[in-house]
Amino acid sequence: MDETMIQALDVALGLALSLMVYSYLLGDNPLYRIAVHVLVGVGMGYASVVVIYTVLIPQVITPVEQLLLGGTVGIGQPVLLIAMVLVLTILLLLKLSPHTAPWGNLTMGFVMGVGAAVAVSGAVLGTLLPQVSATALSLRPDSQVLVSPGQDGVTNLLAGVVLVAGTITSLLYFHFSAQRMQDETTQRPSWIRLSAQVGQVFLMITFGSLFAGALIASLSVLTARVQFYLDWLSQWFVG
Amino acid sequence: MAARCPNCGNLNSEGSKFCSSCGHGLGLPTKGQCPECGTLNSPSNIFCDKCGARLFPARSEMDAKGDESPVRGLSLPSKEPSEDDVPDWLDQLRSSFGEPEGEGVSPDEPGPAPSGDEMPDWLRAAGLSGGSGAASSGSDLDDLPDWLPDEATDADAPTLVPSGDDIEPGELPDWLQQLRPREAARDEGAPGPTPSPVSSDEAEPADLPDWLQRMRPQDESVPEEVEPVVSPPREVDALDSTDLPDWLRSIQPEEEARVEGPPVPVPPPREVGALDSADLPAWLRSIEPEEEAPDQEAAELTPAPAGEAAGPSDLPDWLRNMGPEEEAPDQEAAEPTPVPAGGAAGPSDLPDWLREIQAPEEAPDEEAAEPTPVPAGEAAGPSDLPDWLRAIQSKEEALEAELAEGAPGVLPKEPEPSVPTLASDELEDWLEGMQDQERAAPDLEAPADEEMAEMGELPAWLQEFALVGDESDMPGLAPAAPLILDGEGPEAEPTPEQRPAKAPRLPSPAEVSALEDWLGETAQPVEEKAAPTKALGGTGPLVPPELPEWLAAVSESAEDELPGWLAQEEETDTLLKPDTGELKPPPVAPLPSWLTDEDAGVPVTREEIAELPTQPEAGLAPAELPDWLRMPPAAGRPGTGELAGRAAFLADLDAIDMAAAPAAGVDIEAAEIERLGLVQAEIPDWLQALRPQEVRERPPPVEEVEELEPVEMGGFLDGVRGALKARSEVSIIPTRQVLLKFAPTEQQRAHAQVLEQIVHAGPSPVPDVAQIRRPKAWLERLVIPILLLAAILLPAWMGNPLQGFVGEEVGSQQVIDTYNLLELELSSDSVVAVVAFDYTPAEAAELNPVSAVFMRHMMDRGAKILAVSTAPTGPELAQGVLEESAGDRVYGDDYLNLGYIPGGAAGLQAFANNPWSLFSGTDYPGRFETGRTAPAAAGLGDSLADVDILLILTADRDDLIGWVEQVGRLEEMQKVEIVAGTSASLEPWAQPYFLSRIDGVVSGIPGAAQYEQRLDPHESAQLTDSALYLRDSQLLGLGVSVILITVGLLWGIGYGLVSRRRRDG
Repeated sequence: MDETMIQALDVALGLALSLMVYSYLLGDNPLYRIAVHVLVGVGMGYASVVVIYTVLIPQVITPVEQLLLGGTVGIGQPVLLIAMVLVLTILLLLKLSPHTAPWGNLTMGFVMGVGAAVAVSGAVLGTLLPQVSATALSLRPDSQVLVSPGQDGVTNLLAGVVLVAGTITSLLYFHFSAQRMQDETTQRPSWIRLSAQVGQVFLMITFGSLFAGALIASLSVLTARVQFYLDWLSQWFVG
Repeated sequence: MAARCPNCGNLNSEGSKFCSSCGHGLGLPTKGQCPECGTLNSPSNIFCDKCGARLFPARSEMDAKGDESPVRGLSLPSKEPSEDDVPDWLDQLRSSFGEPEGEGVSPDEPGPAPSGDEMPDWLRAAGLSGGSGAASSGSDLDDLPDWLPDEATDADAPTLVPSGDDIEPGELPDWLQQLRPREAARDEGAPGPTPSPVSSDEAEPADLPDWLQRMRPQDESVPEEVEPVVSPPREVDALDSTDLPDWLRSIQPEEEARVEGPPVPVPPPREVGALDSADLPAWLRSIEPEEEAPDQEAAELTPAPAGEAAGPSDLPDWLRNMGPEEEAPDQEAAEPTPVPAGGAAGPSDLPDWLREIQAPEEAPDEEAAEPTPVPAGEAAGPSDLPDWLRAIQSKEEALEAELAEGAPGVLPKEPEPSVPTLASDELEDWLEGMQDQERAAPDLEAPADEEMAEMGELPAWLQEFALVGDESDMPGLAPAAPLILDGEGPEAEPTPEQRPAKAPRLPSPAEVSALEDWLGETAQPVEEKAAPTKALGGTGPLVPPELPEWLAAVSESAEDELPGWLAQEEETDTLLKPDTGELKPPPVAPLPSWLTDEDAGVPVTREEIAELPTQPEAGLAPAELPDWLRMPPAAGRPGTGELAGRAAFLADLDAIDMAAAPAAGVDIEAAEIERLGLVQAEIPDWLQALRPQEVRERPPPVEEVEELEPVEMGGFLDGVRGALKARSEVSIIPTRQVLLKFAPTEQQRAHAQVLEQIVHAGPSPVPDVAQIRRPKAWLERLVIPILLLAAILLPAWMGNPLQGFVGEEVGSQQVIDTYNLLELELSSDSVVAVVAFDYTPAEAAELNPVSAVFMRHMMDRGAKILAVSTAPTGPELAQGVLEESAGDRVYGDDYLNLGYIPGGAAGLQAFANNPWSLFSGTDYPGRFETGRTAPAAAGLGDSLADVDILLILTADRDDLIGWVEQVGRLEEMQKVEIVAGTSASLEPWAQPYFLSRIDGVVSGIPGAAQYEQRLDPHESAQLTDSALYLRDSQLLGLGVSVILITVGLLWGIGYGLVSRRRRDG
């Protein structure tokens, strides 16, 4: 089978699967489910193979093999570290059986603990502090944060004010603490309620942007798929 | 109240239906429901806790109901009867005897007193006749019983007792009418009625046992006619031992020891007579001299001197003196009772009709020896007699023959003590002496028989008690004083027609039932009968050690409280016969002829009594004994004989031939019930439940109740059927008082009103949503995609229709800045860029154009590209993009696909710190043994900071933030230009990091198209797969989408407005 036939079969299979997915427009049907199952199955199978070939073999099997064969483990891979990785991996495999699953908790604990610690530290140092700093700096007229071509300092300052106001008011919108009034009603302070309403506007704009982005992304996928098939068909028929 | 489990004894909480420990059923809670308010009361309650209403019918109510369904034996002897509690029959009796109905003869109301002609001698001798009553003081009147003050105050008043003429013959029952001729036929020699020893009249009520207190008014009023059938010892048995005086308790065991035989009453006065003289009341001791002077009338009128069974040391002097008197053949003093009639009362002391009765008994021995109450062929022939009566008759005949051998002329009716049959060592000393004397000196008038001599030792009234019981124990016959007062003396001899009228009138059904009860009690075992006989003879152990408290209390104040008539006796000594100085014969309150007449069936002699049917239980007072208590509960006691005796007696009374009933197997009990008009429900349930187990198991009387009443399953009444009207608490509907008062607020009322409106409004017509939405679904699922496809495909066929509306460069400054940044960075040599392809095949359609413009730009500028991916599918996508964008670039030399970075955030941090620690193996395509050995990887050292550009291509927010937080935050990474190529949906999430940690952002196809225009505007416009080409299609599709959204929004707003207008009106 030449490459052209393989490519033609690839395009035909892709077209069939795409139509099967788009058949969902007519309602839930087996074609759609088959396409979804194929997508998920192929994706997971492909991921497993990738993990085996790009992680397990080069990171575990090859060093152990080299160690057993008397060779070097590898650059920067001490034997103890290899042994620990190997043990943790074996323990994780014990999760396959309910009887031995508790033994895998050690590996899971190690992975989750390390991952949580890394994520928290990255969130604080990579998101929270930079965001606060960027927001504060945006109020400076000479700030380069919101520098745009053709905009003067006033515009940048106004943009910075809007940025800060939007950030603060959006945070105040989630301030739900309230106090009991004389008429036995509970409500937030007036200034918080006002700020929350402003923050609600910012939130609506943000959600609208997210929806627009999602819509554009979907249309982009559709457009790319349609364009792909148009190109293939044009090449197939036009030559 | 906590309920204790009958199974395990666990104490359960109140209201528990099952045991919390073992699960055993605790049974239905027994509660008594108040008939007034319905409150459930404790079973021990008599009155309602809440309203105070009586939970059970009072005795008076029961008695009143007795008219409809005669109740036999309703109440326990726990309450002293009041005037209101007097049953109808008693009121009738009282009224028939001249007493106003429902009330006794008050001492303040001078009732008609018997005239001197009507008064018997003993009454006149007692000073009650003539003007002697004037001597009575007012205080004396207070001390007198109800029936006495009238006589004491106004003896001249006419008698309270209506004469026999007042009674219409038609009112008399047949049996009385049948007896009357026989009484008339037996003129002479009839034994006079037994006088009533006024024994306990003066006792303090508080000291009396309940049954005595209850009977005390009866004692005051009941004449002696009904004595023979009363058995006080049985009543004693029914009492609590603590309520009994000692002298009665001493009797009780002996009573219980008897097994068979008809009951023989042991009247309390006889027991009293056995007391020590020191225990006697003063007023009784004051009579002793009179007793010493053998005035038998005084001895009979007072109960205290009646005791002669005590030992010599215990006897008062006047009693001890009676012994020698017995030796002297003073038969009148020794035998004052009318029953022996052998000279006890002189002919002059007896009314004519009594003498008429007495005479025939004295004359022929055969006739006198016939103690059987069989009427001599007038009322019922021998064949009509029941067996037990025939047995009595035969025994009496045997006694007659026996007496005839010893002493002819012995009155067979005289009570025959069993002393002669006793061994001498069984007798008290003084009785032995008396016995010897009696044997040695037979009476002239009385027969010389030893038995009769022994009888002569006793006062006549005591001899009477030896045979008969105290009439006070006869609840069915408790006539008031008139019965005594109507006793006509010799001066007022009644005519034969009057005699039956003077006797108690025919009892009502209730009375008959009561009579039946106490008569039934006479059916005691033979042994029971023998006991009082021994006591009478003084040979038995019946020697009460002390006086009862009530009698002792009386003795202390006897002097002051002595009835007027007795006080007058002391003064005038009228009780003594003027000629002999002896006591006059006892007051001959006439027994009803049907009782005194031996032919009438009343057993008189001991043999007769011995032949009476057995009385199984001597528990309660007769009137208070239900049938089941009178039935023989214990095995071995022939209940049939008892029933037969009573049935025969009743049959004799009503002239109903029931004698053959037992032999015929007839249910006499049922016959009795039917004849008396009784119904089974006469016994209340609560009393029915108290029946013994063996009696309850008897099917006939209990059957109906068992069907109606359930068996108690727990508590003290476990196993008892129908103890109380029990019902399950579950079925009890709480009364309104129990419910909490609910005061709804206005808001609650409004809510309730709304709910009511909703409930009553019913379902409103709902439009068929499916019908309406069906076109919408069709539009949504077909029309909209078609429109979008048309918009997307339009540029392919018609070119870019928006080309004239938009400028050359469509995009944002952000993309321009990013392009400029990269253009500046790529301007240098040996630029190494690490590109992270962190997107999946599903996102490739959008991100591949973005990736492609970046790859062309960097490859065009000669940068070394090292592709990595945090997604497993990323390396494959990266490989495709790199190969498409490489052009003439060589893999390994210009670009390298290192592959997958595992570990998420930790993997990113590790990759940032030491990239080759993760890629120690081959590259992703596997073209190099190790990726680091590839020429393209030469610029990447042991740190990621060695690279110049870090391009992040992702459509996932976490991937983008992961790269920024784990890699971009590193200080050493500050010199690395970090650019993000994201999807259009991820752009808002990338904006916060823009210019802080991300130096440039290109998002989506529009951004890629703008970047592509910057990169090579002319070339990109010629490519069909370029981002610029896709942008046009996307813009058309986006425009259609916006139009559809706008139309949909306007349609929704319009539909809402129209719907509101329609709804409003």
